[in-house]
Amino acid sequence: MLSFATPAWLLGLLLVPVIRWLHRGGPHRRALPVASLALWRSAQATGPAVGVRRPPDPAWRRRALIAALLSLALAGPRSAVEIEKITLWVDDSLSMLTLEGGTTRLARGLDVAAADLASRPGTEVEVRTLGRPWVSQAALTAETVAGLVAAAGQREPSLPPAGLWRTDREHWLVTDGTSDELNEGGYARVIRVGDTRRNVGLLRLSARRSLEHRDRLDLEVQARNGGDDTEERVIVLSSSAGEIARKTLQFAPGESASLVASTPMSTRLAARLEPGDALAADDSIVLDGSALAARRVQVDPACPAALLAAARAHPALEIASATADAELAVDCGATDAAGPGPQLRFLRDGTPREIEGPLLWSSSVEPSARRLGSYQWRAVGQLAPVGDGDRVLLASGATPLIVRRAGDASTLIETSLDVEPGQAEDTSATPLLFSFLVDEALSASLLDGVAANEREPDTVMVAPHAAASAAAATGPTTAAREMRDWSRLLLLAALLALLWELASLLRRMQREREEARAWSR
Amino acid sequence: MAQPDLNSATLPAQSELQAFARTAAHLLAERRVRAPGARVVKRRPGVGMQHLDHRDYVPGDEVRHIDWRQTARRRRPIVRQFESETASEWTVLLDLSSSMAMHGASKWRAAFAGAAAMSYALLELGHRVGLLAFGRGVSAECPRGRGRTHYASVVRTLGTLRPAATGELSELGACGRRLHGDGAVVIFSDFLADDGMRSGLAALLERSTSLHALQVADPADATLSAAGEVDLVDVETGARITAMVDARAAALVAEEHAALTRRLRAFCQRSGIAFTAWDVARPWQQTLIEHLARARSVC
Repeated sequence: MLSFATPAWLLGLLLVPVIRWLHRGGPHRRALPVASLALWRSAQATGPAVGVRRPPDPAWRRRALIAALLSLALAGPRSAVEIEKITLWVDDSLSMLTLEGGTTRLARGLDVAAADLASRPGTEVEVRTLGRPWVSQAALTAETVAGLVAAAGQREPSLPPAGLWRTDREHWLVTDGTSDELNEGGYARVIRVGDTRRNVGLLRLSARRSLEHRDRLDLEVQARNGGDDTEERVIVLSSSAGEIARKTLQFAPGESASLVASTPMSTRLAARLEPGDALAADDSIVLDGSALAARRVQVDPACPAALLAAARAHPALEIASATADAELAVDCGATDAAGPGPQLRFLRDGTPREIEGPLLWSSSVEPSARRLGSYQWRAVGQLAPVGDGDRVLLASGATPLIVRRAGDASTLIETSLDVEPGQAEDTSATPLLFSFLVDEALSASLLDGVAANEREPDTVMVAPHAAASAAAATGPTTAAREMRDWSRLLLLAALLALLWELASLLRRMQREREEARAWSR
Repeated sequence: MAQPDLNSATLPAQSELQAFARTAAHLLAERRVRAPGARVVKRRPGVGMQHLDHRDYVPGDEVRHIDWRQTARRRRPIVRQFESETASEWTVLLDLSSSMAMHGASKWRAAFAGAAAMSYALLELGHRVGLLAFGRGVSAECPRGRGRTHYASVVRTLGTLRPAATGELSELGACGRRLHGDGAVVIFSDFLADDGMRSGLAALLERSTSLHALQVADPADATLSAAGEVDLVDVETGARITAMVDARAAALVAEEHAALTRRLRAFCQRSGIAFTAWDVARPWQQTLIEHLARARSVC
């Protein structure tokens, strides 16, 4: 069905009869000079004189064609073309990596989809995953399938964004039906794969520093039965030093179980299930424990005893004997050379004085750290003026109390707060201040260190839901209609006709010039 | 239409002019057959001292030639006529109309050479020669003179002449007011006018002792490089007609041109005018010699 975007331009077609009327006088005649008209009386054309209408100049057809093509092009002709466009949504959840019959669910589903699409030649296909819907693949080729299988399980799938749910396309879904949510929507076709209904997977492996022993880690591993039957598995915990613990657990369908253990500090922690099952990807989990290792700090011996005690009591710090081994240096005025790493500097020269006025925190300071302002602090000495790039973390009026210095490659934090507690003051202020300064210097939150590697609970579910089975029935397939714009084609044709006209005019001009030259000889 | 290169109209070479003058000398001399021992006297009206006859006064006659005694006796103005001297008066008329500029001004070149050659030959024989160029009117004039030095004046006048490409008519009759019936007239023109300039010739006939008409013709005037329906524009009048140009039309035009020449020739024969149709392809020497030879039997 042909339609026009701006049909008013069709009035331009009325120019066609006008152009023909303008050419009614016949072809443009050349005017040739003669020495005497008296010689040429006998050759005088008598047709028009006796009423014989001369045919219009044939050039009118060409010029009318240009006008007609331009009018039609400006009117924006469009026609609806039945073009089948399919968006193939691929459930790339972890369960799609379940091995069945020597191949994964994902690969098998994509094979089924490719076979269906091959039976529809001319179909425009785009492939998107539910995990990364904004990335599209132009076609379902072998390379596409390999890329999808390699990237599966890394992100949890979700419903397609509304902006990508275009109504001019058919939407297909390749899924194993383990999530009711994903099966919702008006898919024209759902390709459901997977019949395995048994799986136990590891959901989480977490570690934190032991509260009793600062050189040990407390571990917890959690597993869940994602199948329909009761399962029995052995959870094995190991570190870089070897196996830590082993425990046999019974899992009812849908239930979870945990294993807790303690181990010396280790940089690599792992858990696995024995025996393995069809979904091997969730049978093991690995955790990097290096983030929980104690940081080495070198403390100036001239520092107050309270500060030394705070450093020793910090669970994430370890006192280093040499500056070269330290990740952080604490300077109280006795050491001159600054180390290459971050540095804390406490002013000690001067008499402690009371701080007047309220304390003002920088907006970058965590709210949890601002509770330090509730203590009664005193200041010792005067910090150097704040330079360009320096950031004041704490100030009293115009007097900076904690400053993060800029300009050096390493971090330097200076404070004039007195860490020598008075008799009536709370002794917890200094450890909290020291912890805050260490976190600022190392840009880390050391006291809250919990390392974890976890999966969503549903990732281990491999049994399809009943609703998904119902949705697997083939939905209505309606070919999308695309409006094809003919304007550019018509404009191109008009341009060609215009070039034709220009060539004709040029040829005529050359001919007349040659005739004039011939007459002048 | 591009302007033809009219400056390329060049004078004949001196050697050609001298050869032509020698050849034409006997044709321009007295032609009357004389008895042995008879005195050679050419008795015809002209400029001289010997009284020949009387006639009525016409405007333009010199007042000093009025015979007052005869005027009183006949009660109307009567002027004396004198016997022409051996050295006669000649006037060369040159057509400067736009039709002469057609087809590369081939006709103009031929007429230009013919006028120069005639002037040279006549001056060599001691005649007084003047030059008039005419278009819509008299465009240029070189008064009569005698001798070789006058040829330079004639050449200077010729050098200033350029036929206009368009819009210049052929009014031969305009030259009549510059003539006084006392000499011979030679006309170089294509005579392309509605009446073949017959009215102009008739007017000049009354004001000259003898009249020579050389019709310069170019066959290209009857042909066109284009075919089909075209607008034809008269270069002199600007009139326009629509014509169908084909082989048949070309034949008709050639026939019309030939008929024009025939009519002009017949008129000249009846009027005692020496006429020659000159195809520009022919050399001017041959054409002029043949014309002068033919003129001895006409004038």
